[in-house]
Order: sequence, then C-alpha cells, then structure tokens
Amino acid sequence: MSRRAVAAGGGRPARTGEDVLLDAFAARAAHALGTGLSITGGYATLLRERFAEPLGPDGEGALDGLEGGLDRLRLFVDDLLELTGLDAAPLLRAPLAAAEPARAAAGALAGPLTDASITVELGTLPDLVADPALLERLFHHLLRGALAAIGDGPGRVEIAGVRRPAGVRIEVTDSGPAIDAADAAELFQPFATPRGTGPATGAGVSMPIARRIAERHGGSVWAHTGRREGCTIVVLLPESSA
Amino acid sequence: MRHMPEEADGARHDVTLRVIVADDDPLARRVVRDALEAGGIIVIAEAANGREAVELSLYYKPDVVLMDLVMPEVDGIQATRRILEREPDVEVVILTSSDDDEVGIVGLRAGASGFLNKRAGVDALPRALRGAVAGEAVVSRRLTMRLVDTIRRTRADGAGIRPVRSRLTPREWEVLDLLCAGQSTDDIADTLVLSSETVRSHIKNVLRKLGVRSRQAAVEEARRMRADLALADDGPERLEAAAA
Repeated sequence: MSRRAVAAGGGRPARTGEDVLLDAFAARAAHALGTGLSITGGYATLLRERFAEPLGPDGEGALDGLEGGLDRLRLFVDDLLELTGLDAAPLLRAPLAAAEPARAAAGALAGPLTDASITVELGTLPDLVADPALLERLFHHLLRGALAAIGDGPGRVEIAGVRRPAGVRIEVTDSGPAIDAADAAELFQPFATPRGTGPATGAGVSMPIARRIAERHGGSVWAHTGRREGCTIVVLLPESSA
Repeated sequence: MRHMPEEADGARHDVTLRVIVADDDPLARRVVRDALEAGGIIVIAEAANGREAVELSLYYKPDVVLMDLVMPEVDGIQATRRILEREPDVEVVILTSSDDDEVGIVGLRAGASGFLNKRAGVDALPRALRGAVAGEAVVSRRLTMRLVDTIRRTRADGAGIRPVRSRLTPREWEVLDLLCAGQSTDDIADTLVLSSETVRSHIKNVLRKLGVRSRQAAVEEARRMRADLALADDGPERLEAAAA
C-alpha cells in the first residue's frame, strides 16, 4: 500500500458562509454551555466547601463524579471557545526554537499522557518565526489528537521537524490506529469525527484547530495515510513565516 | 478606604481606580478598556482567560477585576474564588451575557461584588466599578429582590449565615455555628464526628481568628457579624441603592 498524504490548508483560504455560520453557532453554544457550567461548578464547589461533612463518603464520591463530568464538559467548552476565537487576536511573529512550545505543550499534558502510558519523544526541531502562544497550542492539539487516537495506551508520540525549501516541516507521529484516505480528508474539517474518544478528546476539534493555526501562519497540515499502523500529522509553515 | 484616602484636613478625594479586564475576546477587552479609560479609570492589565486573571491579580493587586464569566481554562467564577482567597481586598465584578440570576448568586457566593450584563452597555461600567470599590453591591433589581427574599426567610438569629470572605474555614464556621447553638465541646465532637481534641483545636483557632478570648465572646462576635450581613436595618436599602 503506497503512502499518501491528504492535505488541508495551504495558505489561508477564504471562509465560506457555512463556515462562518458554523463558527457563530459554536460560539453561542460555547457561551451557553459555559454559563451553565459556571453555575453548576460554582454550586459543586459550594457543596464541597460547606456540605461535605453531611454528604458523607458516598455523597463525596458522587461529588467527585459530578466534578469529573464537569471537567470533561469544561474541556469541551474550552475547545469550542478556542476554535471560534482563533482569528480574533492579532498574529504575533517572533523568532523562537520550535522545541520550546513543543516541550511546554507536552509538559502541560504530562498528567493525561502518563495516565495513558504514552511517552513523548522530542526530536530535533528547527528555529522559526511564529506566534509563540499559537505554536504551543498547535503542539497541544497535535498531542491531544494523538492521545485520543492511542486511547488507553501504552503508546508513543514522536515530534520532529526539519527546515525545507518550502518552509519548516513539523511531523508528529503517534502509535495509534492507522488512518485511511477518506478519514484523513475529513480529519481537519470542523466537527468531523475525531480519531479517538478518550477523556482528552474534548469537543473533538483538535485537528481543525491545528489546521487553523497552520493557516494563520500561511501554512498547511495533512495526514499521511496508507500505513499499517500509526499516523503522522505533518505541518508545513512556509519560509515566509519562518 | 483605599480608593478615597482621608487627608489631614478630613477632605476626601478620588484616586484613579486600577482595574484588570479579563475577557477571552480581544475586541471585547478593547471596547471595555476604552470605556473605562474614557471614564478616568486605568486598566493596568488585560487577561485572556481565568488563569491569567488570577496570576495578574495576585501580582498587581488591582482595585477591581472586571471578569468575564465564560473563559477558557478557568472560568470567571473559579477565578474570582481563587483571587479572593489570596487577595480579599480586591473587588471582582463579573461581566456576563446571561440574564440568569443563578450567575449572580453563584458569583456572589464566590465573593464577587456583583455582576453586570454585557448588554447594559459599557458606558455604565465606570460608575459601577466605582460603586463596587465604595462598598456597593453591583446587582440587578431583580436579583436584589431575590436577595431580599432570602433575607426575609432567614431565621431571626441569622444562624447558618456566613460571610463569603472570612478568615474562618468552613469547618471552623460549623464549629462556631454549634457553639452558637449552645453545644459543648463533646456535643460538637459527636455532631461532627470528630475527637474532642480536634474540636478544641478548632475552637482555639476560631477565638484567635475572631480576636476574642472566650467562647461566649466568639458567639457574640458571630451574632454581630451576622447582623451586619443580613439583619442590618439598611441592608435592603443599601442593595437597592447599588442597583439603581
């Protein structure tokens, strides 16, 4: 089976009316859900602080479950807020070592990565010019995508990059299930079915967010397909932004 | 008060408020900043999420944090709670697009001075924030009535009422509540399923934190605090004035 690549992005394409409507709906949903979440979370905290004693061990166990569910909802809402707010802030361009945001993103996800017995191997990454915060979010979502795909683990994620004539090419390879061309084409579309469904999946928009971050830098992102196992997501950030 | 220092001659003058604006929408932050600065208020920092709002508030110790409710990472309610745990003198006003009274109730429970609806318009912000620093609750008329109803339903002795911002832990308040109910150390230990030694330790902490030397004085101090909170004659009027 030959290796194929399915690309998304490649510059910053004009957004369709449908995209804009979908974003508007997602933003409204995020705020409505977020408001309910704040209220529920506030009362859960109140229960924990003031009524833990009368609740007893069983009640506290139920409260743990409630808070666990709220954390999952919070991740879902945060994803929607991030997806719909990506274009709002001006793009910063600063010279940086790509290894720094990659390391920071892996560090922030150390808990769920360890829980799933997933090791992250950070290879050589070049210097580039990019938005530091957005680049960290790019690595964050590529790692989240890998986490969701690998599931319970154990597993492995390799991050590497190289400077090419077309720009800086970053590859994130995970040991999760392989992906076929049809799924890869959909992977970067908003609200497409993600590769996995673990607690780290959130709203399942990690790949669309990665795509939009790449596009904001004038770049593109794609998935290698046709492998027996594992998947490599490639991000190309053009030299003009590097 | 911090914002209106009294001079030697007794005259008071306004000092420019220092405010942090927390909102994940950069455009919203810009609009709010412009409105506040037009009203003579200094925006010393902007936060794009609740975590940044907490970090910046602990660093800058602003007079007021104007806090969006729905933000990534840490929401406005959680951020409010975390700020006030460490910096109880900071006033937090929650800005929300929701009309839901529950947002206000949860916000007040977290220690916020009130909440404003984004649709009310930014021109009202400078006055509202000055009101918050002056000790006024920034709440809608509808929520004011709900709070007044709550006070009306409260027992005359105010039992169970606790200030949101208190040096006493929830457990110490439980012990104090039972002291107010006339329970002995052993009774409290039985009620809370604690050892008598632990209860004595809690009581000792309560006395120290309240600055009193006896259990009876602690009970009287608790009653005084509750009277201030819920039973003061000017309570409802003060709330209504703030909402006007």
